[in-house]
Amino acid sequence: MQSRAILLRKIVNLIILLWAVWTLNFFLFHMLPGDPAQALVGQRIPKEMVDELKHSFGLDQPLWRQYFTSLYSATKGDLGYSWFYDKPVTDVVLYRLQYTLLLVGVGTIFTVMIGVYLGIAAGSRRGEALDVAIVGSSLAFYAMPAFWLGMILLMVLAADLQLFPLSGFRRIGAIDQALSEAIVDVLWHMVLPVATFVLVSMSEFVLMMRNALVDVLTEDYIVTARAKGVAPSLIVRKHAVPNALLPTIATTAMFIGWMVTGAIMIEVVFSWPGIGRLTWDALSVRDYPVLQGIFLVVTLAMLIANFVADIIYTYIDPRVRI
Amino acid sequence: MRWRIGGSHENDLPQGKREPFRRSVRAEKLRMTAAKTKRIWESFSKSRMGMLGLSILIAFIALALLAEPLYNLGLIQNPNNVMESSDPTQALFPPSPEHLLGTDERGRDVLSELFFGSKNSLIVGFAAALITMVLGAGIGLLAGSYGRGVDEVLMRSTDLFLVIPWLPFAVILATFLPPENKPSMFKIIIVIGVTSWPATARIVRAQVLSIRERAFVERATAVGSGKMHIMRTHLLPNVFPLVFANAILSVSYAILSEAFLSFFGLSDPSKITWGLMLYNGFNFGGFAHEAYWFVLPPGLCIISVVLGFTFVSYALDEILNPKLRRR
Repeated sequence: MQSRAILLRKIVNLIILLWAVWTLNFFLFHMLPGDPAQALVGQRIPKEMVDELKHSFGLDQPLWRQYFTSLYSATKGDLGYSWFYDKPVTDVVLYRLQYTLLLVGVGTIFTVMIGVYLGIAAGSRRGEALDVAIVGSSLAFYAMPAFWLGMILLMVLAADLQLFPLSGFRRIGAIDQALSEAIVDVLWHMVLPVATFVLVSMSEFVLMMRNALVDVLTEDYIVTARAKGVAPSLIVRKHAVPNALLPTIATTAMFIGWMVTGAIMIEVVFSWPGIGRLTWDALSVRDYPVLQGIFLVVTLAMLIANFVADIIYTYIDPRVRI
Repeated sequence: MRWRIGGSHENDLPQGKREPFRRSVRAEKLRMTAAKTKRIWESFSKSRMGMLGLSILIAFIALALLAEPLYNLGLIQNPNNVMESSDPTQALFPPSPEHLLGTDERGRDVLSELFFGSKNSLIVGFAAALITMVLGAGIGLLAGSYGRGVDEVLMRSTDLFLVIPWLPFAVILATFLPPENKPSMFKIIIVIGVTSWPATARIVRAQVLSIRERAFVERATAVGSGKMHIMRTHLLPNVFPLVFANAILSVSYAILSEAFLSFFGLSDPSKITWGLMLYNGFNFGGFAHEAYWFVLPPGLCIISVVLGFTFVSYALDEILNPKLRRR
């Protein structure tokens, strides 16, 4: 009963946040100095045509009416129209979102697995050479701009050694590949972007897991287990790791934003056809509705990811439920 | 005017003695601050990590400060002046005695660009961190000391800014803020400053909430000190060390953020920063021609400076935050 009330409160919170983000976005756009319509179509279009255009888009209405009209259409999934792609913004952004989700999804799985593994390796050997090496390299990758690492990997592994393709999602001109061939092709193109993603987003998990484990290993029940004569490897695996995992999972949600930022830049470097590349293209042609659509859709995706992480955490750690 | 006992004891003193008393209080306060600073420095100088970070930072600040004098001596170019420093016949030359780190796509000397890039990147970093610090500390203090309605409103908006994905939001801000479509360093600073305060605000608020419960604040309230007075004389000095350690960390975030925004072509092309160098390298041939000498140095500078700030902040945190000390 109580957990249902908490769930309900979280859903209400989610909806309020969504509305607030949408409103913020709406007023940012209307903060544009001068005439937004004129800014969108350029200075050389005559004023009468702009007025007509404004009328057809409802931009001559009072601000509050525009606000409610567009809020109403936003609830139906209508986020405006892209001048450049000549399509509804929602269609453009959602189509590209699939590619980003593929990159972020696969990348996150590897990130969490490798990150937690390295964190355990470092935390259980605190102060030893391996610990220093893992923490040191994690810090270096943490301080690295994602796009720079991508550029270096591309220059060395793709351009110089020609081990991997230079850019894109599939081979150019790949039309009638067999399914198996197509999968191999896509996987081949994914290696470098995913590797870059994992390297730059892993460090947070490594450090978090290491510190949590180091903390847990000083607790009394570990000392008891040691006194009982439990094998050191068993103490780490069975007694310490499960408890150290909890704070690591709890903070995963906090990194989602950081990881999305990384993915956006990685996509630009590797010409991966996702949200990041779309941001880049929309910026270069000044397609404002698409930029706003990206902002709203990515925020929605992140809110949902946070929400899911929250629910999972409540499920794993019974203490939170009380 | 409300009659107050607390705040200043000097009201009890006869008129003539007020000045010297005030001066001696001030001197005593100064002496205490100096002693405290000395203690912190003593622990800090024992931290290997902290000293490593500090020496990295001093090296880069020296690089930044040397840019103008070296240019005035004629030893390096000023790459901010595109017309004067470009030489298309020398574009993308590998390192040579004449250009120790080679040249970029316009034939500008990469080493000179590093000098001026350090200057601009550090300016952006410090300025944006200052905004972050003031906004974060202010909002955190207000939320923590007023409580109830103010706290609720401020913390909800902090939550809002925390969930917003940083890069798409910063991109929108940087394009929409006036002057529209005109990239400028000032705009980048503002964008980074107003998007990165929420984390600081949360930390400060949590600290204020715990300090507020301590006896000396209670005593101050009991003798009738106002909210503003308590905030200024009791809460702010106690959260300041934490705010300071946090601000150092936000300089490194700001420098990284600047590089991200520059990479999307949102920074002023006539103000060389490390991020702008990488943007130029990616877009105008340095990358396609495998000009390692052009792509590697700015990235390495960013990594070193970010690590430098992180180390210093970590070492300070360990001293100021007894909970973090090794068990």
